[in-house]
Amino acid sequence: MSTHGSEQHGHHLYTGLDNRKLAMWAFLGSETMFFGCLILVMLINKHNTLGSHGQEIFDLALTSFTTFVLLTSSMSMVLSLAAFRNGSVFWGRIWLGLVMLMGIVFLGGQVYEFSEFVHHGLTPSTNLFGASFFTLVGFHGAHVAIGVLWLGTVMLYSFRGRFRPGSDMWGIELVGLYWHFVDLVWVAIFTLIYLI
Amino acid sequence: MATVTTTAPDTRTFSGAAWSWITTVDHKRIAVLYLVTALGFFVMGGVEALLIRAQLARPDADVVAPDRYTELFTMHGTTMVFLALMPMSAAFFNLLLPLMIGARDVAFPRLNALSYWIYLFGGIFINISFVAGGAPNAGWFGYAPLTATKFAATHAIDFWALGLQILGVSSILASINFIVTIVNLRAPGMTLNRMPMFVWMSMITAFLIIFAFPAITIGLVLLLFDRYMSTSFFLPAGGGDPVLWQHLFWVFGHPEVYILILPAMGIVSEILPTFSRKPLFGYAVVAYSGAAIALVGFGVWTHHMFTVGLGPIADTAFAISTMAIAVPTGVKIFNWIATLYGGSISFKTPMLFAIGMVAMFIIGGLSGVILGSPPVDGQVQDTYFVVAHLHYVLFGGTVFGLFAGIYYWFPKFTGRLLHEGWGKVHFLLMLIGFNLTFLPQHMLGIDGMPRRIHTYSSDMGFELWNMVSTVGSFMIAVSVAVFAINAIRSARSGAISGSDPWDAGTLEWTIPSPPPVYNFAEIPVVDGQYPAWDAKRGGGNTGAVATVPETLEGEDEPHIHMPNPSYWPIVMAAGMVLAASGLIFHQIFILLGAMMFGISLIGWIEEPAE
Amino acid sequence: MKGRLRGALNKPIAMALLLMGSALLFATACGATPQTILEPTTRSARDSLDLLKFVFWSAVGVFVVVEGALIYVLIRYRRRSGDGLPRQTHGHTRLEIAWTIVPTILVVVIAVLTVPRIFALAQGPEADTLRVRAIGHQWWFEFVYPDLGVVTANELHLPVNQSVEIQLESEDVLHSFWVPKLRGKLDMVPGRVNKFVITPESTGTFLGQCAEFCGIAHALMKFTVVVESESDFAAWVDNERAPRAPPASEQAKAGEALLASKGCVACHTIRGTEAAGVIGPELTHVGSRNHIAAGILPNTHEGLAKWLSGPQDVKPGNFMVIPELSEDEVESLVTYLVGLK
Ligand code: HEA
Ligand code: HEA
Ligand code: HEC
Ligand code: CUA
Ligand SMILES: [Cu+2]
Repeated sequence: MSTHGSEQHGHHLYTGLDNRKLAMWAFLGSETMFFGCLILVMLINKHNTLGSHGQEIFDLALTSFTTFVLLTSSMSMVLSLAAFRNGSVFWGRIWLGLVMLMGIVFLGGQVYEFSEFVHHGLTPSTNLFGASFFTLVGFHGAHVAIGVLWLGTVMLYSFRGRFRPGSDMWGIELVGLYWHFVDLVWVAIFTLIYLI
Repeated sequence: MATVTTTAPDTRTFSGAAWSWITTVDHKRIAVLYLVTALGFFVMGGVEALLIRAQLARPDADVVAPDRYTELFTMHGTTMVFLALMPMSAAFFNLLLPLMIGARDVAFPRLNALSYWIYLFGGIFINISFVAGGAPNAGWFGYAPLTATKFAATHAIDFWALGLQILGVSSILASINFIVTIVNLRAPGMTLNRMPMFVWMSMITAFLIIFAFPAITIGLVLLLFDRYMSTSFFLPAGGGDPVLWQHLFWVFGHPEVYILILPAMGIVSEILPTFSRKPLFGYAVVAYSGAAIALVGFGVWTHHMFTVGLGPIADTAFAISTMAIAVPTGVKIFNWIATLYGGSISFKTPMLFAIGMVAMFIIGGLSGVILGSPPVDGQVQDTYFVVAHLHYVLFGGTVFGLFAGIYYWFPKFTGRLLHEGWGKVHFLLMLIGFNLTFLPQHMLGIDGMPRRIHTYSSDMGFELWNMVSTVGSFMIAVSVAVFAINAIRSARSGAISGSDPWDAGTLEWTIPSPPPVYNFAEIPVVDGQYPAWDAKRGGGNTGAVATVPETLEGEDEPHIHMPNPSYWPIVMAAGMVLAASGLIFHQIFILLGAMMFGISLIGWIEEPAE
Repeated sequence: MKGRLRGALNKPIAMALLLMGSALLFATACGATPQTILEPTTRSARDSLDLLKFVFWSAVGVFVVVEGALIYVLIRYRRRSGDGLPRQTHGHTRLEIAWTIVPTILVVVIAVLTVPRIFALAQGPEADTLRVRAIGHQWWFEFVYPDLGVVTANELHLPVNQSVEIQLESEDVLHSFWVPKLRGKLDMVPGRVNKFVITPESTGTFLGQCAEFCGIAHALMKFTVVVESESDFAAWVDNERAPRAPPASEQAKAGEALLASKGCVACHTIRGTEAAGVIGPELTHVGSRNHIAAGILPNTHEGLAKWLSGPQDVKPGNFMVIPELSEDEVESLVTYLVGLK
């Protein structure tokens, strides 16, 4: 997309907020409903499920760790943006790389958890718990994966001369918004599904 | 007031090779694409309705086979709701939002094109089912478990579920775009409480869409998992619950009906003031009542489930919230009437349709309140009484409102007026035909005729009203044909409209018809709700509207940067729909579609927008 | 010019009103609508109708006032030549408040009348309540009397003035149990059990129909409720409990012999024979019913013959799939089935 500052298509912007950021907020509003519905389905089915309700096969230690990693990555995201803003492209890239790395660690934990479950005989078609769990956590995982890819393109662009000191940073801000959101959703999932 | 177009309308925006249409990112052209496509689907849904009516005209009839019949009403409802009425509203959003708020385009022109192409391909995709092994046949709300593989082994339901999913993407993207456009691209001085009422209603609709669609998205995802991955979210055999589908569907479905009516209400709120030469009465109240309807609309969904057996407490709560909606809706109606009161009312065709909308919607709203009482609903739910209700609000409300909008803004689209005489013929035929079709259906419901039945026997006493209803429906068809002929002829050789044929008050009438690509040569400065009236009548701050200087006429504007045409939107849309179709036809399409999507995404990002 | 415009506008509205009025007249005058909701015979159905009437007349009141105001304003303020710019009014706070409050009051009244009836409809059973399970199948109804040991199909027998709890279930997809003259509908939801209690107050035969779309033969999924005196009901129960009446003629015997060879036994139960299938309706006393095939064919010789010669022609898509029967075989089977009183 084009890279004008807060002037887009020569328009003056009524709120002064960047169009793309506004769009992102609207999109995340929609996503909130999306995950809200999924979490509700999960909560309903947690209690209605036949057979194993799965709670006992959660590996809380592992998931707590990956949760911690994901939370930390949000911090790293903030630091990355701040660094780019301060003109330190180098540190910006380092923090950005760390976010990606932590995202990948989180995904790795998830893949491990999934395969453990399948190993224990819990697949999406085993029972409603499995179905709801894999759907919810799978969709969240997909969001993380997309986020990692997106961070990758941002990284790429930083090497292609974007995000230099003084230039606009909406590309990073956008992915940052998204990343924080995905992180927040995970907090909700972790609390409601794993802990309670 | 500078009247730029005095001779033949400027056709720059609306001519050109097919290629320029395919790559266009101009909101006005996209509006035309939306409108024409939606009208096409309207006729298609209408033909399906006519087949339904032909079958039901006589008892024990054999016009269409029972399995065909189930496809017909499912596709009729689906087509009318998702492929005709919503996109027709989108056509107006596209045309009008930038013009009304004094902007050069929507916030994301290419995204706008993408929304259109996804809609078009999604619509085609669902309808391909007719020739690819059977169309969807479980009703427009596809109640589980009739949609489960066990009861629907063919791909009919997959077409439906995937198609709706695709259309949902289109709607959400378009809505995000419109929200940003309205929030950010308003001309200087266009505060929220100076926005035309249509813009208000569009904004509320867009918010409804982004918050309501995720519910059906989830519902459809779970349904597709049930069908493709042998989960059992909606299957009691595996511990699932069919009622969960109903919740997910109606959490979306009820807001959806307001998504369908609010744009029409916005249109009417523009037309009534123009033709009575008075500003909208109670502007703020009308705007906020729209927001109230939208909010409460999220809390009434189980009024579609009063017969499911959710228990008296749930029924009570939802009955009360349902009835509460009558209040903000009534407020709108009273304000409309107060707008007319004391006015100088001229009965041009757009006004006739707008008045028709108000008059007919009241009937549908009142039958809605009757349905809102659970003990009553128990008797009339799933009968023709509901069919009557839904057509009074959707046809009497939305379709009349949209036709009012078409007559009103046709000159803005084309630079030419629709023929008044034929317009009035259209209106009269449609009004009478509509009432003939749907008024008797109340009686059928009371007499105990269930909906979605392909036949009834002669000893049920349903014949008379069904026959009347069928006759009425063909009268509607004639009226639509009158409109079609009128529209085609007027687009070519109708009277030249000039920029402001109705002496209207909003910004779009200050620029030529059809508008130049850049809409406004200079971005206007607004200081009232009806800037064009202020300018013409000398009230308020006369200098407020920057008019188009005469000298610009005919010139291509070299110094106004407009977004470049792009073919990535259509490629991306095609990729998405191709990938979806892979779930039905062959996995290879998934791969191909994903590749197309990926390539177009890269192309999109790399392409300079301006 | 103006007159014409006004005429053009008013006529359709007047016509609509006229049509509506005459339609209402018709609705009440037409007697030949056996499934109407306007002739309730139980307290439940009367409750619903009373409420409908109240809300309906309130709506008519609102309709007359609002549409009347609309038409009045349209006529009164139509544009006349030489009209100047009308006075530009923008709003009126007291009016806004008024037309918010008045509808609110009406809505509250409707709600106040509605709520007790919601709870009345949900009332539970009494001690001596007769229990019936009604099970929806694509596309017929099964009725089981768990305390009486009776199983039948498509024809529900109830004793008059006795409270009955009907328990709704479904074998496959959603169906809905609806007998307008007895009570508003309630859905049959697979995996759930819905219950309601009614007390029929007059004898007679009442039409019912499945009211939730359930697939291709949804239109042909009907049933009847026979409300009869206590003694008639007792007699009916006695008869139902007995095994099938043995075939009375040679032809009927031949018919019974065909049950196995034609596969009927796989789907139907006829107590006293080897037939013990559970896919289709119980046939032990099929001869005593008024209709077959879920209320769409009269249970006569011709009706049965028509059914057996081509169940898929009578009810396309239904699950009774049988080999083509010769005319003789049909005759024998029909004779046999008619005898299953
Ligand atoms: C444009 C679409 C639209 C709109 C605006 C509405 C508006 C309303 N609808 Fe409707 N409805 C549908 C589309 C719509 N509906 C559809 C498509 C279905 C069927 C779906 C399906 O099953 O296929 C349906 C079904 C439906 C049902 C379920 C019926 C059933 O299946 O059993 C109910 C029940 O409560 C209901 C109620 C209402 C109410 C109370 C309103 C209110 O918003 C109406 C408010 C308006 C007024 C009341 C009139 C104006 C007010 C005044 C003049 C003020 C004074 C009035 C009073 C005090 C009463 N609707
Ligand atoms: C959304 C809006 C909408 C609109 C506008 C309509 C319009 C019409 N509807 Fe529809 N209807 C629904 C939404 C709508 N409907 C829904 C949601 C359902 C529920 C579906 C379900 O149960 O799942 C339904 C169900 C429904 C039923 C019940 C079916 C059943 O339960 O078995 C019936 C029956 O009469 C019906 C009739 C009609 C008729 C006669 C029209 C007419 O007004 C149509 C008029 C239009 C035309 C006739 C256009 C054709 C024009 C020509 C042929 C002229 C030629 C012109 C050219 C070639 C340019 N509709
Ligand atoms: C494959 C299963 C199947 C077989 C075999 C079968 N039936 Fe049926 N039968 C059904 C079903 C299902 C119905 C209910 C059809 C409906 O109304 O939708 C039915 C209905 C009937 C009815 C009407 C009952 C009523 O009260 O409505 C009769 C009579 C009947 N069958 C007789 C027979 C005879 C005689 C045969 C053997 C020649 C036979 N059936 C074989 C499944 C079967
Ligand atoms: Cu059973 Cu409809
Ligand atoms: Cu609703």
